[in-house]
Amino acid sequence: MKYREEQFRNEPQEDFSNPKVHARIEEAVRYIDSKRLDMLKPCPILIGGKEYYTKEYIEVYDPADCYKIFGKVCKTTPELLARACTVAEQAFRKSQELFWDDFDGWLHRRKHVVRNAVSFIREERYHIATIIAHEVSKSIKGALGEVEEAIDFGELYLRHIDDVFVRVYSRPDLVSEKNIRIPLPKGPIAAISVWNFPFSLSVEKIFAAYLTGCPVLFKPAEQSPIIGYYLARLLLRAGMEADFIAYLPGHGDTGEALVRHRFVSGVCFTGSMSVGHKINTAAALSVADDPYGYPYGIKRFEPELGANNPMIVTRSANLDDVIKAVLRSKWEQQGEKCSALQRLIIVAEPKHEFSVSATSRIIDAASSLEYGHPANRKKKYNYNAVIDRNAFDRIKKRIADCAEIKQPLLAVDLSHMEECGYFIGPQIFEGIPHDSPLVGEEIFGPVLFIFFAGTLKEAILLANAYPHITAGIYSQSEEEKKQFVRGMVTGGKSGLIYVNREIIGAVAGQHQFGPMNQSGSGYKLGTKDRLHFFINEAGICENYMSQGVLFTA
Amino acid sequence: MNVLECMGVDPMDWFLGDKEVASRLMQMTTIVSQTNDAGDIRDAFYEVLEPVHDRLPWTFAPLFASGRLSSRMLARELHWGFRLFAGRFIGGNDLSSISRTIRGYHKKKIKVNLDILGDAVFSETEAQKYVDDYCRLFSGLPKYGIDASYDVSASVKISAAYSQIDPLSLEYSVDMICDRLEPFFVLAQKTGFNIFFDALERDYREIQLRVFERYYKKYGAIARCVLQSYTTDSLEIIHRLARLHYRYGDELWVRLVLGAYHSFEQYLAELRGWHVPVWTVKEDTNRNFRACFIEGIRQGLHMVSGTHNVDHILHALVHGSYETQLIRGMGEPYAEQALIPNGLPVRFYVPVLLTSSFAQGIGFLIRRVDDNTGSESFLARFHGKKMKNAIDILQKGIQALPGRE
Repeated sequence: MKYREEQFRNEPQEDFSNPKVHARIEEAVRYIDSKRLDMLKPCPILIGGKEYYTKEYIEVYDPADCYKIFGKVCKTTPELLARACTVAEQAFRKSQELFWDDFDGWLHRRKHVVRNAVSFIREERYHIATIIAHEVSKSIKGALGEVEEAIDFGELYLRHIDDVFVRVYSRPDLVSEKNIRIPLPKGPIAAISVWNFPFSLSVEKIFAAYLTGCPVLFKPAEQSPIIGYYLARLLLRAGMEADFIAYLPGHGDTGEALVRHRFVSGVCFTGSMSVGHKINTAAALSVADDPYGYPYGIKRFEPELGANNPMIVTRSANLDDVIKAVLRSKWEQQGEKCSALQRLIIVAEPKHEFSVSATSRIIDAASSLEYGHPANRKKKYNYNAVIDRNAFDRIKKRIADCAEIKQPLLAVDLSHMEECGYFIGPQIFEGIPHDSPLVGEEIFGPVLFIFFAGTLKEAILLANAYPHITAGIYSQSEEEKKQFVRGMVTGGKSGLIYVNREIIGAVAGQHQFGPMNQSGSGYKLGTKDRLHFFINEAGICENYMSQGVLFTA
Repeated sequence: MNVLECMGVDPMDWFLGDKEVASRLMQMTTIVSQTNDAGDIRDAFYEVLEPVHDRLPWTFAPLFASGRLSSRMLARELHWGFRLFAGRFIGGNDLSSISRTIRGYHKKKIKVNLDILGDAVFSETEAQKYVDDYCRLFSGLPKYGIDASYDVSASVKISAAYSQIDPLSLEYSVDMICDRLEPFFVLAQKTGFNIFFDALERDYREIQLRVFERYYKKYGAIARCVLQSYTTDSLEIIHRLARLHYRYGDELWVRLVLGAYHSFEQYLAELRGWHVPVWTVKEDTNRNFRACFIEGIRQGLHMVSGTHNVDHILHALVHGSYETQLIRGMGEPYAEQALIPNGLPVRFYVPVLLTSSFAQGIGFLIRRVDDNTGSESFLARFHGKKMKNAIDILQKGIQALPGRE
């Protein structure tokens, strides 16, 4: 097998041991606090660079401080949504002219805007991270990691974009015919973003669409529209054409109308599996109902959906490494990550000393995690609140349902903090049947299920029983590692397989992260292939021969 | 008599000169330390060591002949071998054996610095146990006749005193660690023992320094600091400690070491996209060690060397090192043949356990093995005949010290 190396360096990570970094974070926290009153004014909808205020608002509460309103945004009406789509469609047509007349200038401008945006993100990283921390209750470390990831996406796509627009000549040896493949922008794109990575995954979609020449109809998640507004403003400051970015906050109905709109050529979505499948159906059906009314034809859909991720631990694993990995993979960001661990499968009998030791140390370690507000003055808590009341109630119900089958091994009670926010402590269950829907459905919360398997083969079968994005093994045995990788690859569900590493925290350009099968299309984020989603390719064949004579151009 | 003993195998020899063998043996030690399951140990033994069996001492050959040893017997022998290896470095696993070790060293005019192994802490229960063990150690030793005259010190790792230690929550972490360690310091004051704050990875260094500063202000010379000279900014730390010393006046002890996380810091910097915060060329680390030592002495700090590099030891002695600290299991020839006969103060760094399980010592042992198999390692260069040469150099160097000619 041949391997190709990619030369790319990630954005350097923050040095959290440096007191100067602490000072900049504190300064950002104070700055955002000082803007609290301004943030009570609703953020407008942005279409073609113009601000639109509507009567209906979405109010955003800080999940870890749920009595404090963090911000307000106007809700997009159907009329404004239609206007945004029309503006995007017109912008696309106009841009197409430039694309043909002056491709180099056209592309140069787009790269310049993205470079500007990346440098603004770098400069404003602490402010951005603080907004994320407040809005979705993410640790400051996690939020800064997200900003770094956004920068990486920008840098990666800037590197790949020239290759994407390369015109390919096929059979150049032919004298009588010229065959070219020309990549073209696809058309206006609906970028429907998610709240758990509200910045980086929005940036990823917007940069990819914009660089490939597609106007962006950006709908942030209803839980995180403030950071979405900040991003839209940042892009306009960076020089993005006003008609290439529309900021359209709203609920599910706004998303659905966007997906169905005739001027939308494709939908880029990150979110739950159930919503993803609904969007897929809505996008397909809208075109099927009126195939000629849709100028961009069949809508492409690029999903990144949820999953139920397993980690296998064999008896040859280093237990200290396992504990550290389980803590991060399960409870970092409260398990609200598509790559978060849900099922820990230990290859040993439940009463084996290894199982007993692993389980008791995980319980002990999980019960020591400290919960609080991510931007707390005294301590920047790394374990915070779940996103909102809906998530809180859903997870609580799931815990209660599980407890009816089997009492949890660990149930950290944070009810004393429920008055401050939506805090749920770590919960660990063992003994719930693996085929129970309670285990099968993605929980997206701080609940871990532990299973035991007699052999590694059995463990791999369990791991592959449910769709997952990531999967991991902890083992020091080469044989076991090989068997696992082979089993998971051929199982066909894992987008990214980790060996002796936590199963979250993929780094763009370094780890080949990308959902596949039930969780997504299989494109890896940050790669050139991902940009192809936003591209159509036209084939042109020109014949130079007429009546046996060659007429060259 | 034990099989390995019959074979005449010195466990240190396993680890010398062959990085792959060392790495595989490290895997083996992890597995052996974590389980008593004979089947698991046997499986791991053959899988991990079979590919390098021809590079192991010839005496291992019978273990690879099929059917020679049952799972149980093999497991027993490996456990024994592991304990043999661990025993070389570990100075006891209960108060009685630890106090025997201290007395043994005391007879040889050697002081002791105790380090309770078990620094992998993930929960508050483990962190509390870590500190409780130290309290048990300091309150228990006087009952075995070890008093202030033995001048015992202990090394604590701040990361083991608080499971949620976080460089971002600097002051909070410092508060939590100080709260937990306070009873230990009260005991240290009562018993007349001292406490060194061990150096850790760079992420925790600011916390380590602040915890040290707080205790130094409160307890004076009972609190002692360890500094790694492989970090590029260690000279700045010397100046920072000197300012503290000027301000509070009490003796400020610094154990200057080369550092035990050299490769780890480099891997981490690479992953995080940072400039490497440690000197990557051995000679630069050496130069920095010497520069830090001289500067520390010049600034009135009580500098002690914590290295097995003969040049550094001599350099430190020339410039007035208050002590030479060596590691148990590695530094005996230097102490017994060169330093003690010349009346120079020596303190041995003695890892101990307060449990019968050797699993807790695994982190320490792995680091020792890693240190000793690196291309620049002390033992890889100074073993056998070379060790004799090193001792000769040390003896001659000591004779040539000012005032001894």
